[in-house]
Parts: sequence; C-alpha cells; structure tokens
Amino acid sequence: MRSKIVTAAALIGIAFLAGACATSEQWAEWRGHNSHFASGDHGMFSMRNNMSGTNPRVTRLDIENTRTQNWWGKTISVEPGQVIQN
Amino acid sequence: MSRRSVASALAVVLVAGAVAPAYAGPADYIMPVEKHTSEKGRALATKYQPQLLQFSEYVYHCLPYLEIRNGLGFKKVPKEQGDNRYAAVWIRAEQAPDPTFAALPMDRQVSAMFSRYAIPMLRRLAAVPGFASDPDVYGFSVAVEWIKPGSDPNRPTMEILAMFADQASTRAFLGMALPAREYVEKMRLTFFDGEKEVGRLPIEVWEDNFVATYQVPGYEMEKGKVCS
Repeated sequence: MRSKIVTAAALIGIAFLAGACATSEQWAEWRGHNSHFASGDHGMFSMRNNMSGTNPRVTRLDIENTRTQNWWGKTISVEPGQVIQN
Repeated sequence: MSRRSVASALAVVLVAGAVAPAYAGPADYIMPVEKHTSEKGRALATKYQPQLLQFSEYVYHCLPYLEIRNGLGFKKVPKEQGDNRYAAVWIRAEQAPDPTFAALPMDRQVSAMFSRYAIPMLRRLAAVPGFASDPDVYGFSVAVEWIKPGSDPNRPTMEILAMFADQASTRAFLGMALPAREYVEKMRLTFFDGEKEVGRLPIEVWEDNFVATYQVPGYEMEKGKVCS
C-alpha cells in the first residue's frame, strides 16, 4: 500500500512538472525559432492583400489601426509611477 | 446629383474625418519636457529632443511589433533620493499566445523577454550621440511589458520588467568587458505581475538576434525611412 502511494505521488509530481515547465525540447524550439511569438506571424495586424491575395502588405498605419481596434481598454497592471518616476 | 445630396455627402465626409482616430506618430511617444519633474530632467529632455525623436522613429518604423509606452524621456528610480536621471524607454512587446512560452517558469519567461528586447534597447540607448560624455545622464532604464500568458483576453494582465543601470557598467557589459551575470547583479531590476510587485528575479541573459533580424511579413516601410 505504501509503495502504491509513493508511486502515485511520484506520477502526480511528474505530471505537474511536465505541465508547469517547458521541456528542454520546447525550450530549444523557443530559442531557435526567432519569430514564433511576434505579432506579424499570428495575424494580429490587419493585412492588405494584392489582387491575387498572395502578397499581403501591412503598413505602419495598418498596425496603428489594428492596435486601436483590438485594444482592450483597461488592463490589470501597476501604476506607471511604481515602475518609473518622471 | 442634387445640391442637397452633394451637401449631405460632404457633411458625411467631414463628420467621418472629424471622428476618425488620430494615429500617433513617433513624436507622440516622447514624454513632453514639462512632464519631467526636475530641472535636470527638463534640461536633458530639451537638449536631446532630436535624439529622442530619432530613437522613437527607429522603434516606430523599424520595430512595429513594439510600442513605446509612457513616454520616452529622462526618468528616475521611483522613490529614490537625489535626482539621478536615466535615459528611459518603456516598450510593450506585442505577442500572440504561445504555449511553449507560457510553459516556461516565470524567471525563464522574464529572462527571455529581457534578452530579446531589453538588451537591444540598451544597445540603442547607449549609442545615442552625446550620452556617453554627459554626466547628467546617469544611466539607462528599459521597461518591457507583455501580456501574461493565460490571462483574461478581455482584460489582460500585464507583466512588466523594469531595469535601471548606470552608464559605466552598461557600456562595460555591451563592450563585453563585464560578464552578463555581474551586470545583472549590479542593476536595479524589478518584476511586476499585474498589480503585484514581485521584485527581483534570477534572470539569465543570452544572445538573441530577434530584433536585429525579424521582419513582420509583408511589412511595407514608409517611403524614405531606413533602418540601420
């Protein structure tokens, strides 16, 4: 019985660690893949397409426009004065 | 087309023009001189307006996935005695949710953001003409903020890493005369998780060429602008 409890605890611990932390492979992927989390790769910017639809173009104004449309308003954050003083 | 319909169309255009959002340009990301809370800060802000504008234009045009927040200027450590002024930039890094990033322990996430964004910003600040020989520019400050992975998409929690370092140690680090570990130990470093001040985290610094190499797919630079 005791060994079963220890085994179960060990399995739960492994599962927790696997869920909470990136594996070394994931970490290597993150470091190796330079563009994995930049906005441009994830379509957060609105894209203008050319006639064939194969050459998406985005200008600085498009980005500004998308920021304005997508912004949530108030975020949960400290006051700027806690971070830096003017 | 009747005169009335022309007038109506014109009115619609005028109203649309009036309510269209006024987009911010590079100059809007610089903290106004008068918002600096000391004479030294205001003098620095006045003296280096062209350099600040150049810095802002670089971020605006060349790194469109970053947004300067709370004004580029000469700021100080909160509640610190004296008036040491740091050339300071606060950037928001826009990033889509990423499970691998989210799975990293907090200090790894912070290390990644520091290495990816804070170091290039420090390098850029240190290269601003005039700062190196100006005793009133005590050091450099970079704050990087990003959306906390897994936070409410309707009201995201922001994570912020803020660092302050003196000019001498920053230049020594950038010139590879000071190891990253020692540089980090010397700097003032604070991490904020939403509304909570977490404090200092054990961060690592490594090479990351993202800012130097990443191009937003299909991004069309404004005519006449050059990134270097």
